[in-house]
Amino acid sequence: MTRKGYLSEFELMILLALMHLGEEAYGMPISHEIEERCGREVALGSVYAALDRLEDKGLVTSRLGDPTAERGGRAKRYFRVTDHGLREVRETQRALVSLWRGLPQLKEGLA
Amino acid sequence: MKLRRPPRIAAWLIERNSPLAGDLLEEFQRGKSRGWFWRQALIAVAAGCERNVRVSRLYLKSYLIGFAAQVAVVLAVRQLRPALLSSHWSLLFVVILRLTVLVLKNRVAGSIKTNLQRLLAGGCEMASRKRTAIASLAAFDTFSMYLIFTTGSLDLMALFETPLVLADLLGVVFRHPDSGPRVA
Repeated sequence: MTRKGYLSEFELMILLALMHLGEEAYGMPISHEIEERCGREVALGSVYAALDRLEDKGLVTSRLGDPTAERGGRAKRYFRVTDHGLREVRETQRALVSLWRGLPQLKEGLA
Repeated sequence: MKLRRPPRIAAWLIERNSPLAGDLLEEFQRGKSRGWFWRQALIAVAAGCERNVRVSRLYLKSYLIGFAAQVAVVLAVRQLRPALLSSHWSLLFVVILRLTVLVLKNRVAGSIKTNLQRLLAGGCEMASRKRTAIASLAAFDTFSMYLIFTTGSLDLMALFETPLVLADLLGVVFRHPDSGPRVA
């Protein structure tokens, strides 16, 4: 059976970061979470672009928080993974684990 | 505490994407450099452009589907029930279609309202695109009305009007990014 729309690597990272952050998931913490856990710098614009795509697909939802002076009176946009998003993460995990399993190159640490 | 001022032009580029601008400003106040702010702003604009290209492709696709459906309907009616294209039925068809367009436009206006929220919180590029869409819709409508009144041609009217209606419907059905609120 063919299945459309697997998550990209970056989209998967963002969904996992959202799950780690829980209620405090907005732009900057998401970006920091990926940087700390994956060791690579990510631009905030790329994070928001991916979040917009995920929202288009119904995998995340967003709400606006309260504005603060430090942010020039701008509100934070908090994100949350939807049930559909959670299912997609599980499905991607299952597919990756299945591909991973039994690869001798990975067991020997060459990859 | 005195707040630092970010680069003015870079801040202007992203000011309509309020949450993103707020995030960058917050980080800038915590000590990030002006170069960092500039780089982040330029990447955000580039990412927004990429999104607009994707959205436009979706809209074009739904318009083409609508156009093909319209041609099929007109050809089928011509073959099967030529009487339906007589002046009385044409008039009824025009009235029904105009009412449908009116209802849909109200719906689109609702989208514009919700997109205004998005405009303030979702991306500076949405503004010009939305303005273009509204202007095109108005021009299209005026032109199709002109055709109806001057030629009375159902085919011409339908050719211009129906694809728009169907494109809007498809946009709603497929949750076109233009058609729904995404910032609660």
